[in-house]
Amino acid sequence: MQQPSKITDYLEVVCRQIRWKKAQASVLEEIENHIIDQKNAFINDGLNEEEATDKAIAEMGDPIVVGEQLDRVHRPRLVGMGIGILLVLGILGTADMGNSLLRIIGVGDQIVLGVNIPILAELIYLVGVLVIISSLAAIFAPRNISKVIIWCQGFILTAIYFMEVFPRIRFALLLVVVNIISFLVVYRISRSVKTGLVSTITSFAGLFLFVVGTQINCYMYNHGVNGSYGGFENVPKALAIIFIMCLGPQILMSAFISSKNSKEQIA
Amino acid sequence: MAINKSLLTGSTTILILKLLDEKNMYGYQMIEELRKKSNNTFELKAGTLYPLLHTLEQKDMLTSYEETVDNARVRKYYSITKKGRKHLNEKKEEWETFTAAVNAVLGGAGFATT
Repeated sequence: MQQPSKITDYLEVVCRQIRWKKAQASVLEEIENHIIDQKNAFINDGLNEEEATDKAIAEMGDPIVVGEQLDRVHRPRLVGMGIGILLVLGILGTADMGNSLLRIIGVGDQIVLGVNIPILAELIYLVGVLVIISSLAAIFAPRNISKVIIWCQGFILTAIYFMEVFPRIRFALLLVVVNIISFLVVYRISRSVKTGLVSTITSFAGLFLFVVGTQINCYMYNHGVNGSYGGFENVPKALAIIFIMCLGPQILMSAFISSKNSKEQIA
Repeated sequence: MAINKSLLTGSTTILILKLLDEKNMYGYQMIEELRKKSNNTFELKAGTLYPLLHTLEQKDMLTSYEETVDNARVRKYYSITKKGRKHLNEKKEEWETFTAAVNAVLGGAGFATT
């Protein structure tokens, strides 16, 4: 029979747009039911089987558009997992106390193939951040901007690395500038303030988790070596500094842009 | 009568919530019901309806359950939640304010006679 296969073809195309496998089955069943209902209604109106099927499928709309819309609704919840992995990487990667766990297990050695790489453990952490954020961007971001977000993230993390290697004010400023540029670029393409803030928020979260990791590390070290419970007293200060570097300017700018936009709408 | 699409998109949510406020329904039924109630003005596409239903379900404004009907086909019924009702009332008020304002600008009481 030809008709069921037309429906199957349609469902196949819709299915291909939905990236989260777990959501596919129930969604497709619902759509299939709908097409069958619609087809039966057309048959009751006096159409023959084939016409009814064609018309029912046409009523449903472009399978690619439908699938993409459903894809946007059904997304796996990976954010929590990503943050967890970053925190673990942060704890492993921090080396201020000279006791980086990565170094203990042999990865934190700064000389690789004869080349001296400064703060290798931090670098590993930053690369981990980039990998996780890129995969999240590939899953969640609209297709037209996911690449740009990944690029921006790369530049921001490079700036963070420079700042870690050369802790001087001009490298902190470089990070601020790179963050602002990323915000503007993504905003220009997506025309949405929220999307523009994505890369700066993730870099903020990345740095913050890094600090938390460092502090957990200090805490473990302190506790193990001299039995004290110190370690977290610097977190609020660090949080404030990271906020100024990564988020502050962009939040001000987005507030400015939104207020300007709403004024334009009224005018 | 054909109506501009942009007018429709914002109001589809409140139409769906209103339908489900009266009784639980499955997707196809909603489209039929809407067409009947609006004298064929709202030809809601299924391709718009389902993503919207799933979004509303994720926002806890709707819940769904499955029911087997006649020849072993499983239908997905939707019903409105408390949160959905609250949202409906808010949106309804918003809509009334908006349409009243548009009508006032278009010509106040004289609008009905043109």
